[in-house]
Amino acid sequence: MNTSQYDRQQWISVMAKAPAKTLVALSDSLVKTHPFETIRAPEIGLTQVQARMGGTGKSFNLGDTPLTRCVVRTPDGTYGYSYIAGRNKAHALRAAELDALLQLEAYHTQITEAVLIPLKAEQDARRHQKIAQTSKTRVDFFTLVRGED
Amino acid sequence: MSRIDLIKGFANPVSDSQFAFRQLLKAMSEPGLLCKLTTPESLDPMSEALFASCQTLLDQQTPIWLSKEFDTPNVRHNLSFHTGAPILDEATKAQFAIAFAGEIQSTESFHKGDVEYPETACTLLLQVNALNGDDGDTLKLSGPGIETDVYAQISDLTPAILTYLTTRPDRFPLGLDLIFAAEDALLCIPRSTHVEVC
Repeated sequence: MNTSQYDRQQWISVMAKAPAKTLVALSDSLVKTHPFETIRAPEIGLTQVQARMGGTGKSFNLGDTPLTRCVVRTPDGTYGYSYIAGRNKAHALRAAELDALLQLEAYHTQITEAVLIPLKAEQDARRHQKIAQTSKTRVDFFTLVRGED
Repeated sequence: MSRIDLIKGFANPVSDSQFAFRQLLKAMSEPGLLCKLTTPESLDPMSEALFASCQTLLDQQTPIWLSKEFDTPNVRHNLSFHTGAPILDEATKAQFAIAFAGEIQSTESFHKGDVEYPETACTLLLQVNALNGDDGDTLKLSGPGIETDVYAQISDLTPAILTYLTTRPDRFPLGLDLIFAAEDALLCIPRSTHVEVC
């Protein structure tokens, strides 16, 4: 299957942001029977987070965050990768397995429907709720015309 | 061009590399002793013991040098992936050199350490066909870690390696430490060992 980089970024992002328990519960039946080889067993490390003040300023090092990464391979030689913030090895392993399967045509639609769409809906709902909450107290700053000329 | 394939690393990176490190420590402190090292998959053309040693000893802070035979896109990619070690073009600054023993025509280019920092010397990871098999030179080892003396038979030794081991041109504590690997076994000859060719 020909997967575009954009599509892959999308599903990797959804799985990385999903709560580990939900991701594992949703995908258990799809993945459990599949034989994977672990190329890089889930391992925990640190990565430096960079930030920009206001999103536009000069970048600075904000601090370190724990990161778990994992790589698996399916019998036909497709590699699945995952980088997950935090220390949850089960989450990283499952995300890597799903990434490998999502690249295969035979499983793509099934996993998208069973796992990605519910997770994405939940994430969107949470985001909209947050936006709705904060917009109540939103203040727009603007300058009135001072009428000097 | 050969296909680049990521191969399996240690199944349990922490405990497996601790076990492998303990084996290497044992082999290094008792020169001539054969120790077993295994890893789930071997990286062509590396032996199992050599790839296991690489996963154990190398990290981002150990620059390595690869000999011509080992310098393939596949080896480079897998070593970078599993160890993150920077790969140098020149042997002089490498902390570990990976080669077939038969390729070593001179030991000049490897760093032998400084008097202030003898531990910065290069460690040679050399692959051979057989250890304590039927072919190769028999070496008589004695010195620290060996009660009286011990015999080791190593194949593919070049005159350059034999001359280096028997004459020891660098005064202790300077010098090269050698790790010989074949299939799933390895033995070490550190710089402190006295070597005679039988």
